[in-house]
Amino acid sequence: MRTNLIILIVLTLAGLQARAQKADTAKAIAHYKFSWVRDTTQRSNPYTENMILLMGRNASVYKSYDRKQQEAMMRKQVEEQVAQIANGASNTIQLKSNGKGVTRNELFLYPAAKKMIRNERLINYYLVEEELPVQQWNITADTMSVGDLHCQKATTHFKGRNYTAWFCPDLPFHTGPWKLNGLPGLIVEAYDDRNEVVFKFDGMEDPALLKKPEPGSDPGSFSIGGTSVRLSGQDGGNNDPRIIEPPVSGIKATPKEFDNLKEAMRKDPRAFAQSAMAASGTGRVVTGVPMPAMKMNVQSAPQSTINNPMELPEEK
Amino acid sequence: MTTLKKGFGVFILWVLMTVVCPAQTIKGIVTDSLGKAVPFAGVNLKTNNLIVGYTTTNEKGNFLLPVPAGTNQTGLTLEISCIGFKKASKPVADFSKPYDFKLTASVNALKTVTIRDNSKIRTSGDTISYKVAEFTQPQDRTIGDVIKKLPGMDVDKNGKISYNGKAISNLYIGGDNLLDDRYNIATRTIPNGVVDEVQVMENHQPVKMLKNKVNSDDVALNLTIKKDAKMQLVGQETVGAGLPGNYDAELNAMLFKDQYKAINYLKGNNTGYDLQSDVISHNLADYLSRVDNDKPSTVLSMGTAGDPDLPRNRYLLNRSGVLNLNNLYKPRPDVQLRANLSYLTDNQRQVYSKLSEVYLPNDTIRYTENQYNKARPDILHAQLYANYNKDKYYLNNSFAADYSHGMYYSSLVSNNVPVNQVFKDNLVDIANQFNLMQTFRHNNIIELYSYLNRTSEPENRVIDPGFNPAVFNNGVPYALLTQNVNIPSWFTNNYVKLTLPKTLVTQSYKVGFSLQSQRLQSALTTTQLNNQLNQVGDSALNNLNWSRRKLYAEAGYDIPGNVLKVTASLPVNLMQIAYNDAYYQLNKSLTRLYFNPRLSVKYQTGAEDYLTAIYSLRNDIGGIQDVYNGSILKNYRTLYANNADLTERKTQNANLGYSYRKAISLFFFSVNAGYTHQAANNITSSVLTNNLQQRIVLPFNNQTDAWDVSGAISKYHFKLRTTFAAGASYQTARLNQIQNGIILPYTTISTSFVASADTKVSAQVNFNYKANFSLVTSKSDLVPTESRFQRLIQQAALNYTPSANFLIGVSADHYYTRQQQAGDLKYIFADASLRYKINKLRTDIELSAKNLFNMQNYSAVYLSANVFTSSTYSIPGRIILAKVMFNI
Repeated sequence: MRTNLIILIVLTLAGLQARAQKADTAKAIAHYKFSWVRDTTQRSNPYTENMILLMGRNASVYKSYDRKQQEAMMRKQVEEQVAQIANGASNTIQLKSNGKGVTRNELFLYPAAKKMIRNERLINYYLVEEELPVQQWNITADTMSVGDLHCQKATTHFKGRNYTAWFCPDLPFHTGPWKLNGLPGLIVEAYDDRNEVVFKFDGMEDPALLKKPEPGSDPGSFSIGGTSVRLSGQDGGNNDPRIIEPPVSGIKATPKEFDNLKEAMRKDPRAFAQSAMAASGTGRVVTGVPMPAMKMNVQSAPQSTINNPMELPEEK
Repeated sequence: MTTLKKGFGVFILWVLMTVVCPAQTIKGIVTDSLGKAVPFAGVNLKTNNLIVGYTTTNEKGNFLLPVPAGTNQTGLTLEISCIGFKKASKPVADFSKPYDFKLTASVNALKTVTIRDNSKIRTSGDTISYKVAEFTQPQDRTIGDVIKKLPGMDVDKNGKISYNGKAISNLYIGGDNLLDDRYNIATRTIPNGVVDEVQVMENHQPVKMLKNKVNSDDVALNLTIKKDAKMQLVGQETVGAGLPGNYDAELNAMLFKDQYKAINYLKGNNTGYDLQSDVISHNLADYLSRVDNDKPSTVLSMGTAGDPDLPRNRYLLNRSGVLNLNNLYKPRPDVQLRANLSYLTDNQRQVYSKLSEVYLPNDTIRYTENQYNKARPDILHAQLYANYNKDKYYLNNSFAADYSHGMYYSSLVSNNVPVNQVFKDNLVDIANQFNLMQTFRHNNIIELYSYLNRTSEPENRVIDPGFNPAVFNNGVPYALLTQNVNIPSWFTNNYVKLTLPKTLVTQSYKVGFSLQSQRLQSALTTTQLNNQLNQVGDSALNNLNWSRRKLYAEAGYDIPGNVLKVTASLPVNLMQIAYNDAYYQLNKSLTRLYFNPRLSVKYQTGAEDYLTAIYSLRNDIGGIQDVYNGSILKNYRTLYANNADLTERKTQNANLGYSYRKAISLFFFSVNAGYTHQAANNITSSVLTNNLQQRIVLPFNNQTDAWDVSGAISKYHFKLRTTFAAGASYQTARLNQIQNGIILPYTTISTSFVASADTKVSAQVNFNYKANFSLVTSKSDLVPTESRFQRLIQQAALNYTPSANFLIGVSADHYYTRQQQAGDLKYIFADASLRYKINKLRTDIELSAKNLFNMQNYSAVYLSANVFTSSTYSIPGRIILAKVMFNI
């Protein structure tokens, strides 16, 4: 009963959708290869993921690049299968992900405003605003060059781990992968002293070369034969991939509220999903022509064990 | 009340603190061109282009940057960087005045970095690490191929590696010392694919307990091995066959485990690849001079022509094979046990003709010779090594045994007289070095050192039939002329050393002794036609005993500072030399007390640049080969004897150097200047006749001076993906020569320039070019003519990889020689190769052609002030070779 109440409270917040922050435009994009020893019994087989960091004048967002690719693939699958349904060849949409878990949340950092917004997805987008994580960096005289980027080394202790970061003063973005930020230049590489959490630089991309979607189109939706399909959970925030802004549809939540919500989902996932879907109004087919009833059946790979969180409790 | 009082007290104290010692801060405001505040702009405090402190501006554009404690206050700059604006910077001199900036907007302040290329170089303290994969090109097969291309690195034709102008002391593999300084074994065998990084370690101190206490200016390399290559056996197996009748094979197996390392191989070829150079000990001369072991050198030789001035693989006519086993085992991380064993056999041919002319003020002497030489050396080297390197304990024992057996044959036509020569040369050399260090009370270190060496080298050369009877047999025809020489030798050097490390200065005191005991036995005999053996004359016999005893005490001081490193050694030597040969009533001894100080200073002018200054004074005395009175026929036309006292030399040497690197942008630069003055008490003189050259030593106050200046620069250009390198050197020497009783002071000036570029034109094409120009002039005030010798060597190679498993390579080298009174000489050699990779079979197939233009003779002409020589060598012609290479 109590869980339902919480869900209700949180969901009503949906009405308070508001722009969290003035939008910023990406001036540079960095790619990282992220690896994390989640399971210390399997050190040689860490979790890996390709990540991307978009940097603007005042804001940056760090998110999964693999997820972007997966979503594009999913969209293609749905497009094909919806087309088959339209032809009457099938009445089920069977989606297969590539068997790899991806990071679902996005981290928006606003160093000047000293805040961080986590865009969490639990069916809906929840925008969890927190204080900007701060690291006390120690700058050293060690240097490295990555391509023609000249980097300097800095070290810090953050969330139970000793990190080494290589930052590039020629790229004056005071941000970096994940929650690492605050150095006088982009952090292009970072790792902890046990090599369990590693952000490895994988190149830069020029945002000017990013494809701008056609005006009015929505990457989270498409239409087939007059049928417009909107997929829930897709990166449907903004049309322009260069804009650094949490999704407009995001629901503001405090960290506590969001934790409660997560707890609620863990305890009663069915009820949670139902009410959430109802509240968001997504995940449904808006029909132009009569369509047979469709069942959504989403499969994803089982999560591996995590016995070594990224953020470790501080030893006292 | 008390708390209030206390609190008030603290407050007062805090106020006072801020007044008395104001925290050093830099403040200012950052605005745009319209005077509007620029919030959240980066404010960086830099020294030597490295950030030492930073902050950002607030909403009003103000900043307050605390200067970190201990920052060197000279050479600071303040830099403002902000997206959308041009970078601005100002030097910081005074912390009290504000630093205001007006930024100009820039549309594209950020250069577009779209490179997905990860050329990587990392520095950490004294270590620079090059990521091998980023410097590798498709044609590279071994790690040596990659090291050659690293900016800042130079590899000479023997494979000796220098970093920023300084020869490396050692090459470690995964941190372990598998090969000492015989590192060609590694650079020519380890596939580049298994090496992760090449690390350069400056100021390398291999002894753990001496780190940060005793200075070392050694530079060492370390190869870090990739994780997967550490697990398994690594190897490349090559077999090749070609025309005309050529073969080339290599079977190797390597292990790079943490506990066990091995490089074992078997190689054989007749394609001109010199396997002896695989086992060169690069720092042998340095090592022997440090141990103070003056080993006798080989006395006899076959002829007077050296090797042509071409790369060895261009002229060598060989049939060589080598078995090389190097194995290292580490029972514990700080204990290393090692065995190195190599056996080499060769069958080399050399065919040449030579004309020499010596111009004397009123005569010209002319020699001609034609030789067909065969050399069959068998060389065995064995070394056992144990090393304990702990924080408080160090033990090192190295035992080496060398045996070489050489047979040399020559058919010779000298001034139109044909003769045969057979030369047997057997060398046995056994040495043991023991070194023990122990840390005891107050971190003091005691060291025991002992070195023992035994060598013996019987040499025997027979010339037949009856060569030059006028000189050797009173004009009577005879059968054989035999020269025998042997200098069996013992040497030992032992010392005790006490090292007292203090925070600022490490003192060390050493006492020791060394003994050298040698005997020179030689005889020149003729075998008459009736097989009777006769001595040649009455002065071609030696039976000379020699001993050199040395007692020494040395004080040493090391200031191992971060900015200033000073090393001084002040040894006092008491030397006693005695030698006698009853046959010549020779019985001499002398005692000398020498002071041989050495001072070296290294001053770190910045994080990556330093100045060095070295001064040394060295007194030394010649050896047994300077005092024998009986003549030795060193080669068929050089009779050598001494009739003077021992050579005493006093050498002063001063050197000044500056080394600069900016590793982050792959820029390396160094300059060195040196001066050497040597004063000796005698001079070597030559008496020339038409068939014989006799050398004798005369007392003479012989002063020589030499100056040299050199510089080298190397830079990797990221945009052009090119390593550029250039160097220049200038040397001048003033020395004396005596010929037929005339003293000729000569001034020789050599200048050389080298420039190279190695570029990756695209992912498929890479190109490299190297040019080397040298000019040598030699002049004497007493001789009107001046000699000038100019040489330009150019090398270029182009490689094209149309697909991932196909490689085409072409290369050429051009040699151009010019000197007056002799025509210009031009030679061009070209090579080509095709390689195809069959990934499935882990096999490469290669077809190569060497010396495409089929050059079969090479001539070298040399004119010094009064000697002209012209030599012509037969060299291998075109070789076409097909090879199959399999990777384990």
